Amino acid sequence: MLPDERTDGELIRASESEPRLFEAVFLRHYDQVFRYLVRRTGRDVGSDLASEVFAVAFAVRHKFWPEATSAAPWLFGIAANLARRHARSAERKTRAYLRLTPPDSDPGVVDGLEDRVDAQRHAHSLNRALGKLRQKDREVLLLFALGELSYGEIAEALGIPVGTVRSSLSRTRRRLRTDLDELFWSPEGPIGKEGV
Amino acid sequence: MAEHHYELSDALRRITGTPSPTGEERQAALGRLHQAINKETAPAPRRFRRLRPVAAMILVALVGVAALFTLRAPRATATLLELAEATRRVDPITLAPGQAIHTAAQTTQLTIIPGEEISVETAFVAYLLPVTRETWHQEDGSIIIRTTVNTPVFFDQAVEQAYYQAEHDTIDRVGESYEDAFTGATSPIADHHWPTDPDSLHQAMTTWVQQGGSQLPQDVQLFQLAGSILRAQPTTPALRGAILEVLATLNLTTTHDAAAQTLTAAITYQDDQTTLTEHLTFDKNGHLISDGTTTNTAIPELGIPADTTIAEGHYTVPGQVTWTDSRP
Repeated sequence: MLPDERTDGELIRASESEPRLFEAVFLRHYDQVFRYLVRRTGRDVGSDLASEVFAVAFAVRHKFWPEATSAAPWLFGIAANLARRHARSAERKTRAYLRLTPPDSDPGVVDGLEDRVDAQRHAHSLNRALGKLRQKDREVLLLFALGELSYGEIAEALGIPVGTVRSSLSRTRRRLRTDLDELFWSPEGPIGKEGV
Repeated sequence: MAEHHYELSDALRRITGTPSPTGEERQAALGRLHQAINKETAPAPRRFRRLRPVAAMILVALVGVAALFTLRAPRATATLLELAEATRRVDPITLAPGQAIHTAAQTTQLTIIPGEEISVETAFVAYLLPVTRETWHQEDGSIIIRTTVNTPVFFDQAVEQAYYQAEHDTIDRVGESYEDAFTGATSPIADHHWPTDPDSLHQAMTTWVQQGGSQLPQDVQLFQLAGSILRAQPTTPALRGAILEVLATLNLTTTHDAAAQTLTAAITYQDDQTTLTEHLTFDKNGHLISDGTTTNTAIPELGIPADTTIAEGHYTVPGQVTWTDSRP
C-alpha cells in the first residue's frame, strides 16, 4: 500500500469523518514520541505514555488546526503534559525512590535518570541542576534534547514565540554552566573528555 | 568549542540513549488507538458522542413553579420570535484594551469508558463528571480557560469502587484545576463565521449538520447545534437573535417562567431504544443560562435508570471585566 501523501493537517481533518485515517498520523510520529517519553520517564512509563498520547490526540483532534502540515509539535505538547502529570503522580507514590536523590532535586525531571548513570553523584548533579530551572525552561530543554525538536517546533508545542525558545536555551546554558562544569569536564564524569 | 546548551543536550541524549519501540510496544500502542477509534465508530455508544460536549446541558425541573406556561408550536414559535426581537435590542459588549469577557459554567458531563479500563466486565461503564469552567476572552483575541474537575457521580457502587481502584480519577484529573490558553477560537464551531441573518444562519446550520453524518432528525441536530454555538464563545445580540429565530422554525415546546423571566425551549426524540429530552433555557436578553439532557427511558447497558439527568450546565451571563483584576 502506498503511503498517504496528505499532510498531517489534512489527515486529521479527514479523520473527523473517517476516524481510521488517524492511524496514519500514529505511524508517522509514534517512534519519535516514544523516544522522547522513554528518554524522559524510562521504558515502562514512557511506552505507556506514548500510547496515551495518541489516544488523547485522537480524542481532541477536532482542536488541531487543519492548516498545520505537521502534527509533531501538537503531539509533543500533549506528550510533555502527560509526562508532567505522571511526574506529579509518581512523586506522590514513590517516596522510597526519592530517598536516593538529594532533597532539593526534582526526580520527576527525568525519571529513572539515576538508574541510567553509573555514578550516582553525577545523576544527582544533573537532576539537581535541571531541578533548578524554571518549569518552562526545563520543558524547552527536554523537548530540544530528548524530543530533538527544532526551535520552531518547540515554540508550537508549548505555545510560545520562537524567540522565547532561543532565550530560554541561552538562559539554561548560563544557569547550568557552573553547576555542570564538573559533570561535563571531569574525566570521571559520564561524558568525560568526549563531551568537551 | 561547542555551545554549552548543545553539550548539555548531547549529555542528556547520551545518558538516556536512543530508544526505539519494539514491535510489541508499537502494536500495543496501535491497539489502544484502534480501541479509541472503534469506540467512536461503534453503534452502541455513538448516540452519546454529542452528550460529551465541553459544556453539557441540564434538564429544567420547574414543575410547580408559579406562572409557567408551556406552549407548543405555533405559539412556541411566537414566544421565541418575541425573545429574538428583544435580544436584538440589547447593547453588545465592547471590550477596551485590558478588558476581557468573563463567563463561568457549572457542568456535568456523561462520561463513558470501556469497562476494561477499570477492570469491569461490562463493555462500557458510565458516570457523571462535574466540571467547573471559567473563561476569559480578552480584547486581543486570546482566551484563557480554567477548568476544575470535581468528584464524579456514579450510577453503580461497584463501578465507583472499580474506578478508584484503577486510579481512573487521576486520568480524569479529579480534584485538579488547570488552565489552557488559546489564541483565536477553541473549536471548529467557535471558529466558524455564523451569519446573523436568520435565513442565512438557518442555511449555514443546515449545511453544517448535513456534513456531520448523524442519523437523528434534522430538527434535533439543529437544536443541538444551536446550543453548541451558544456555548462555544460569547455571542453578539445579533447572533443570539438569529439563533432564536432558527429555533422558532423547529418542532419543539417552550416554557415561559414569568417570575424568573426565562424561556425554555425543549425537544424530545427517540434515539434507537432511548427517549431523550433536551432543553435550552434563555434569560430575557437571549443569553443561554442553562441546558440539559434527560433520559426518559432507562439505558440498562450503562446502568442508567429512567428519568436521569445525564448532562447539565448552568452558565453565567457574560460579563465585562478588567483582565488583571478579575483573574485570580
